[in-house]
Amino acid sequence: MTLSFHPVTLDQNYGDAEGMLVYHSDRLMAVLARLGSLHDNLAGCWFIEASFSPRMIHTPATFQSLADFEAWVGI
Amino acid sequence: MARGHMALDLDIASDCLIRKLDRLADLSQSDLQAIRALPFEIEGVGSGQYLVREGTLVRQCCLLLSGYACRYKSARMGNRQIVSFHLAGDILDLQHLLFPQADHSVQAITDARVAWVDTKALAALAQQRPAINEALWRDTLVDASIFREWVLNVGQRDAKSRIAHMLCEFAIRREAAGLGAPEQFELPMTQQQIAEATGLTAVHVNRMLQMLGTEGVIERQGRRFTIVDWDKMRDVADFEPGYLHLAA
Repeated sequence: MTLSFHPVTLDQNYGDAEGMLVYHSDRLMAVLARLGSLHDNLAGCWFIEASFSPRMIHTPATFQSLADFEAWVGI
Repeated sequence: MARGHMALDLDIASDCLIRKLDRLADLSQSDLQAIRALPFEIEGVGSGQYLVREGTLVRQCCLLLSGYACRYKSARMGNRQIVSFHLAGDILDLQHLLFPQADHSVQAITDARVAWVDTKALAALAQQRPAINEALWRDTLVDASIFREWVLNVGQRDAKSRIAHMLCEFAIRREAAGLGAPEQFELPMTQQQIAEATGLTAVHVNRMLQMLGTEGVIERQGRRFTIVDWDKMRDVADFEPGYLHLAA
């Protein structure tokens, strides 16, 4: 598996500021945000905030864990 | 639910269509009588029920008497774009008078009552009566104008404006249909449906509604919405109601 995760703070409010840069080898693949309490049953899930893969652009998926995201990417 | 022909229901259906068309063209007494003679069939439908299904041959036009519906198209992967919301008084599929094969779907998003009318009967009425023909034509032109505005909304406005615009339009159309003042309403759509109408995710919709609340533009209690500051709301939404042609 060649994904690596780097924590960042996102410039957004409402408890969604915890972010993660996702690299595939040395290329930035996606920016994830951990959803806050505003999102009810999705709170705590990882959400694809931005991505640079055509497959993800129209896939508003959320993931329980980074491992779930990694499995979904399937690299 | 079975379709019915109860006299009272038929009056409600013809009154609903008359109220719609009379705003669009100058109808004569004989035009009104001709509308009252249309062969309406009334049906109660549940939320989620299809009123038009893409690919099918449509032989009856659907008039929404109460409740709400959405019109949408789906991409190959199954994700869908809602292209309009509809409310009481809307004729949902006038285009099937001339193009009988449905190129999109319409689905009730709440429990609703609808009146079905044979497309041939409505087409014949339009051919025989110029004022009714003009009203139906104007209705399709207003629909087209709303579609253009939605393309602009989805393609060029930021997330907050898109949602604010959708709310403004809903409030104004609701008022025009005689369903109440625009300042306060029960929103029938889910956040997922708003997302599908604005090209956003439900996560973004949730954030933007929260932001509109924090900025003092709207107040929410569940699905009960109050537009607290209309001027600000219109400004955020970039909302100019001219495209509705005051008849929607």
